[in-house]
This record gives sequence, C-alpha cells and structure tokens, in this order.
Amino acid sequence: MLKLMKYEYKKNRGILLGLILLVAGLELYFLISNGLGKLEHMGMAAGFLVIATMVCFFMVFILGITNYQKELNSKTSYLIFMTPNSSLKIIVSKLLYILVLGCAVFLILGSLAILDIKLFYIMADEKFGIIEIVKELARSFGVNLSHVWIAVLLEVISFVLSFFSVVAIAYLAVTLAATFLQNSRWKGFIGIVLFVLLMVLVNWIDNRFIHNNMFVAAASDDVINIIRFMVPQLLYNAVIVVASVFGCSFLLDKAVSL
Amino acid sequence: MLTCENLVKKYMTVTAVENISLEIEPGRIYALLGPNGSGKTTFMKMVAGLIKPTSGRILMEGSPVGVESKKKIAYMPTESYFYPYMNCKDVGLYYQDFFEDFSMERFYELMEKMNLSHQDKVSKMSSGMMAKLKLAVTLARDAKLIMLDEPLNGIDIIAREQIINSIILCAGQDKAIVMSSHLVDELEKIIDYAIFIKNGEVERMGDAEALREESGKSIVDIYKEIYA
Repeated sequence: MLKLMKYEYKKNRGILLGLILLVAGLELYFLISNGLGKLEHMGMAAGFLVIATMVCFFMVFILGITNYQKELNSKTSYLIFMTPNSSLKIIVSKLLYILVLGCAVFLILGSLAILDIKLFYIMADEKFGIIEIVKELARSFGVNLSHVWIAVLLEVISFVLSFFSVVAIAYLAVTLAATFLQNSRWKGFIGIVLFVLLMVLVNWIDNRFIHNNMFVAAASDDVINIIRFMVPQLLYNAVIVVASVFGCSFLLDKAVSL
Repeated sequence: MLTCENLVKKYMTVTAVENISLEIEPGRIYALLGPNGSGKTTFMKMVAGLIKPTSGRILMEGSPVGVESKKKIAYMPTESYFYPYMNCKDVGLYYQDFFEDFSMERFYELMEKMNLSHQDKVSKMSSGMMAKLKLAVTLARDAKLIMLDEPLNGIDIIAREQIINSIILCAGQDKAIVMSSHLVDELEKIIDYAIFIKNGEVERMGDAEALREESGKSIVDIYKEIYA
C-alpha cells in the first residue's frame, strides 16, 4: 500500500512543488511586510494566502480525480495494473494518498495561519486573542463553547468524509466510464452525467433523511445530543465512501480493459 | 502451466478474440503470429490481467488469472507505458518495489548490453531505446511465463540479434516465453512452437518442427500461405 502511495506522490511531485513555492512566496511576502511593519501589505499577503489555501485544497481534489481518470485512459495504467496488487488495494491507496496529502496541506497551511494570526495580533496590539473573540461570539449566539469543540471536531471529520464521498463518487463514475461504458463514444460525457446524477441523489438523500446541524448541536448542553445530531451524517458519508470504493474495485475486477 | 479455455473478447460489435483454447508449457519458446488486428495483443493482455475476457477462462498453474498470477507472469506491452518523470533507474526501482522475482543486478546487466544509461529519461527516448528498456526490465524478472508483444518493433537490424540472444538466454526448463511479431523470419530460428491467429481465432498451431515437416514449408511460408 505504501509503495503504491509513494508512486502516487512521485507522479505529482512537480505540481506539489509548484504549490509549495507559491505558498512559501506568499508567506515570505507576509513575513517581510510584518518585519517592515506594513500592515496594508500584511493584509494583502493574508488575502492571497487564503486564496492559495483554497487553491491547494481544490488542487488536492482535482489531482485525486484526474490522476485516476488519466491512469485508466493511458498506457501508464499497465504499470500499476500489471503489478500483483488487487483493484481494491489500488483504489484504496489512491484515496489514502489524497487523505495524507489533504492532511499535510491542512497541517502546513493551518500552522502558517496560526503563526500569521499571532504575528498580526502582536503587531495590531490587540487586547483579545482569537480564543476570546470566538468565545465572545459564541456567547452572543447562545452557544455553549465547552461543547462546541466536540461539534467542531465532528464537523471536521464530517467535512473530510463528505470530501471523500465526493471523490469516491467521482471514482465510481470514472470507473464506470472506463469499464462497462468503455466501448461508448460518449463515455467521457456519460461519466460526467453519471457523476452529477449520483451527486444529486446523494444530496437529495442527505437533505431528506439526514439531520446534521452543527449550530443546533453546539447549542445543546448535552454531549449525547451533539453526537446524535452529527453521527448520522458521518455514517452516511462513510457508507458512501465504502460502497463507492467496493463498487470501483468490483467494476475493475469484472470489466477492466486497458 | 497456462491453460486458456474458449477465450472470447468482444468490443461492441467487434470480436477481437474468438474462442481461443490453448496450453502453454514450460521450457518452450512460443511465437504468436498474425497480422495487425488479428487478436495477438488482446490475447496477451487477457493473460496479463489487463483485459477481462467476455467469456472463457484463463488458468495459470490451475488458478484463475489475478493477483497471484501477476507474480508469475511478466508481460511486455508493445506501447511505452512508463511514467514520464522516470529514467531507466526509476523504472528498475519501480519493478524492484513490486515484483519479488525482479533482479536489479540483472536489469543493469541487460541495460549495459543494450547501451542504455541509468539516467536516460523515458520521455526523451527514441522508439528503439524504449523497446530495449521495456525488454531489459521484463527480462530482469525471473517469471515463469514471459510474454513479449512485438519485442523487435523499432529495433535496428544490428540490435535485433543482440535482443534475440538475450531472450534465448532467459529461456529455461521451468519457464515459457511467448512472443508476438510481424518479423516471422527473425523468430523462425528460435521458436519451438507456432500459433497462427487470424481474425481472433487460432488458424493453426503446433510444434514448429512438426509444422515444417508436415507442410514441407518454413514457418515464414506457412505464414504467407495463411495470411497472403
């Protein structure tokens, strides 16, 4: 599994290096502005860093899907499918790679954000720290902050799972296009339509049957209530991920044609 | 070693392989002969597990083709299939990571014979260099079944002999080599068994010597008789 992930990284290291250089350049701009005491430039750099963060997460998502799509439609697929690895292992390694990459981006950019916010507050000579501001805001909304962290933690897990459910559904659509629809001239288009239809179905079920509201959960005094509000969403997304992964593996085992 | 029973592969209305049944035994060099589009590559890809047959079954040492059979089968596709970032050494390291029977030492030896350098970038290779690299990395595996799809494609006359010698050196009592090629006269000298495929079906097959004796013709002439 680790070896498969290693080669996923090696294939993308050029793009990743480009993103690292972009973020490093912007961070340098922020730090220089901070050193020179130019608040206006710090604000600009912070704004660019926020955009760069969004670009990085978007790239992780796009890389994850396009890598797989390209793999199934190019001769390089021989390299991976010739190896004695099951289809399931190949799919899971690709998803785990996206997870690791996403976590690395989150940790790096999150650490930079904390550092930059601290520097910003030191410079702006703020009396309140971030925590105090968040606490004050929460209090004004009637939210119990001691419990909100549980809700936030569950919401982060829910976000990761929901992100993966979208990636897994995209994988399923790509796999369907490359296996059972391999002979169709419109397989690419049908793949996109399938992805949209699956997403609409998943969202419809989510809105109709799953109740998830972080703020309702956070307002609750009871931890059990918080979990009751959040867990169905987590389970729902986990089921989508698992079902899609096994679906991809089944399709590859039954009808792959490289 | 390898048993194929009633193998069929259809793509919409096109039948690439039609009811192929054959046995591959160890200790022999097989030639899979036929013009473009006759079904040779599709057959090899099905054995390598890259294409699933529409019907029929393939058994490698009694077990259906899958993860375990991929440990025993080395397949060299006709196309370039390496990642563009790779150089020759990266290709070897990749095989070393995934195939227990791969020998880096043997790979370097074959590379040296074929005048390839460790740092040669895959993306900048000529078709001849690419063919040599594919062959070197495939033959560096100690696989029981070695399948080479058009191993002489893009190789100049001088290097062909060198490549054929490398293939012969790889042959052994415990392994089988299956080669497809248009260059029948080049294979004639080294093959033990010939399989002629026409329109996805086995037109004729048998021991090369027996085929020659039976028809009083060379393999090249039998080829011409079938396909001309």
